[in-house]
Amino acid sequence: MPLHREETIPVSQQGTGGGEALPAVQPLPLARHDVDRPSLATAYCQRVEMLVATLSATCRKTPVQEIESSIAASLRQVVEALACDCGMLAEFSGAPATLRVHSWWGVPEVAAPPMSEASLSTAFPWYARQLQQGNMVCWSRLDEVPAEASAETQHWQSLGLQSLLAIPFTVAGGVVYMLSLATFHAPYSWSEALLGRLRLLGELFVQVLLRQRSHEQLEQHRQFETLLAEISAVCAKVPANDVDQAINDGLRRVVEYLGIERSTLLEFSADQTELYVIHSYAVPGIPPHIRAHAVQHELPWYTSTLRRGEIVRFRRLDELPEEALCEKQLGKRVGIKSCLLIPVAMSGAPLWVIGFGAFRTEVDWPAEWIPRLRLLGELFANALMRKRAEEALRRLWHELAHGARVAMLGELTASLAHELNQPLAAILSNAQAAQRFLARETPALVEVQEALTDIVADNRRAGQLIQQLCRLGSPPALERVPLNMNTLVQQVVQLVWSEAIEHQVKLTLELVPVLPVVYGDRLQLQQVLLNLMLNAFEAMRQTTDQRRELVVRTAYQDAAVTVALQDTGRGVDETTLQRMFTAFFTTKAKGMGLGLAVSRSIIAAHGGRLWALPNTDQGITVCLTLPLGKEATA
Amino acid sequence: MNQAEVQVLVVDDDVSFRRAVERLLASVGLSAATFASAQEFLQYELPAGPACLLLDVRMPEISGLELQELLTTTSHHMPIIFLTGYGTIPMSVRAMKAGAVDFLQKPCDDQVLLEAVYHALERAQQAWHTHTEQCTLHDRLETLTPREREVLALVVTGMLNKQIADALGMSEKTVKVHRARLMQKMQAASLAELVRMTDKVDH
Repeated sequence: MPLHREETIPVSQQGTGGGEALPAVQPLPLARHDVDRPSLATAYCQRVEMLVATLSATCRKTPVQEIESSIAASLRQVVEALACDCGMLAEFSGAPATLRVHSWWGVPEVAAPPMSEASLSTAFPWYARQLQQGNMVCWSRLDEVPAEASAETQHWQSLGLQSLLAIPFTVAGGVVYMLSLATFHAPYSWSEALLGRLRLLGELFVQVLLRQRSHEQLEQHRQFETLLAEISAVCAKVPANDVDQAINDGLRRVVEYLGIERSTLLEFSADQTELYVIHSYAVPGIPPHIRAHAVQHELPWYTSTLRRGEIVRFRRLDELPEEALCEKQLGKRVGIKSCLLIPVAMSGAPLWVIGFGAFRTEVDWPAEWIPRLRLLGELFANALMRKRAEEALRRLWHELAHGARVAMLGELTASLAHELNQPLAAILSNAQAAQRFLARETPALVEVQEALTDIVADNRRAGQLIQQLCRLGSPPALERVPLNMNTLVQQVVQLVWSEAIEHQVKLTLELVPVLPVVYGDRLQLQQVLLNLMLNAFEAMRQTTDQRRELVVRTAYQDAAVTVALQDTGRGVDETTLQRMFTAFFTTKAKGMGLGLAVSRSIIAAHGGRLWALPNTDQGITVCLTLPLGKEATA
Repeated sequence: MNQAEVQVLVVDDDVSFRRAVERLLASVGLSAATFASAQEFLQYELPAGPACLLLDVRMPEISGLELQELLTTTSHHMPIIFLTGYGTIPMSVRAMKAGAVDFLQKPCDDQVLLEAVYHALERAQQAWHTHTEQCTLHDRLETLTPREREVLALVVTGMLNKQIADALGMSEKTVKVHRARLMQKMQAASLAELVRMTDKVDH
């Protein structure tokens, strides 16, 4: 404590206003003159009593945020009331003991001690020991300091300390508080009566400090709970696509909250042999874990401990057992100080691990953190599992959609063969006609030219048809491209033209001449149209009525493109109308009942709607709408 | 075969196939009339000369097979060659039973198609010849008086004039006059020819 002394006032000169009761809220005037010792001591005792009374009356009511300033003010009052030079309220803990100053006040001539944490045991080993053992240190003049405190004596002498009183207060949890008073201007006699009252005062201070501390802890808990609640809310409702981002954010916020440097989410493989990094966040300057990196070889002891469902927790690397050799070496290399790894179980077995690392300061990982951090791991794991389930479902739908499409093409094979045959037949006849024209004595070149032109056109037509088929039969690959629904309708009609003839259906198109583009997956939308047209044919096949007509209309209004398919089928009842779009509902003899369900999910994924209405006379009209300009809908 | 007189009628809903077939037929000097649908064909005044029909099975509204049925009921016996993108046995059996001369699968080789067309046209021509001959004979028969027809009916059975006279209650001389007149009207040079003529008409 680098305290300097410029002015020395002898003890005998100190005094007060003769035991008058001064209000404790105001600094007591220094009374350093003409007071005889006993009356002075009595006066000091009275002043301390006053302070104790005032403090005990107010300390419970003092708002937590004012505790700090209230203690500082009281400390000043004590110093002034007792005509000392400085007073300090501090906390020291651990081995070696570290001192943390809570509050200090001194006369202007005395320099303040450093407020940061300082190691007490290096410079003051005896002093620290005494206080930690709960022994008061009290000397009125330097020569009263015992011989064993030679180091302290030297230090105190160099600081100019003339007397010192330090009362320790041990509270639960091994933390020791200390109230100390010191003089620099002269030796000071600490009477027993005064010591008793100061102890009382010190206890009051400690109570107030403890109250502040418990409030801080409470506040810290509250913040932690708030953080968890926020992360929990985000994880519960975040769309599947944003789960990864939400987890990264959560890991970052926890790191920032705990004041550590890294947090990581890991996952065990299904057979629990491997442990993978799923997400990792680290503050700048600290290496995060690499995503998808398997750690079981680098960290075998951690892996096996976690697999058993046990927590890994250390403040210092050397707390790890000998078996954790790899972990110690790696820890040393990366410079980790403290680490906490919590296994997170899902239906019994630990499937996930949430880990925290401190690189700059040692962290105790209090026991009360663990259930909360485990909960955090569970939140992340749940969100990830939800995301995976959604992805699996989407994949399943894609495969289902693909399957349904391929099955539809299978049903269409005969018609498509016919449709392909037409251009092929024309090409063959044209080519052979051309050969014959060429073989004439005078080759008929104009005819040959015309035949060739037609051959090229038919070849293109066949090519386009094959391309359509290949596309429809190819595996699902979602793409968003600008599409004209008129073109799409025409392409699909080309595919079902023969099928319509086969079903004796008169297929009419009523397309609006100009249609704005919609963004969507060409393949999927073609599949929907194909499905709806084949359904209409099927519905009309079952009718005995001679009239079999399908009218396909396109329209555009309210920022949406509509395609309506009006058939003259046997129609459906209200129940069927409600249920026809649900999976596995079918009125067909053969058929899975997936076509319309798949179609509806496709249209919904495009931000559109698919529904059916009964016609006034006969059959139903199936409508689909697609919004305009939704380039980014998922 | 006089090709200028014959005609091939093509009914197919596919415009490029119609053009191609028309071109192929033209390359061998055959003239064709093409129709996009059965309805269009039915509105057309059928040619007087021998003709055959190239007919697509699968067409919107009225299919090839339905058109064949319609033609049968309207007693228009035109040889039909069916064309189909994918032929099925029941379909071709049904067509052949109803009198189709051929059932071809698209795409088909020019040799096959043209042979079928020639074959059909030959049949058409034969039928046309028979038909025209019958018409001529029928016209000549129309010129006969009732008495002459009676005489004709008995002459062709090989009865002698005397027997005919007895049977019809007229003199043998009158029979001779009728006989000479009807031979002249029917433009028959001999009794044998007259018999053949009446066979054709009855047929």
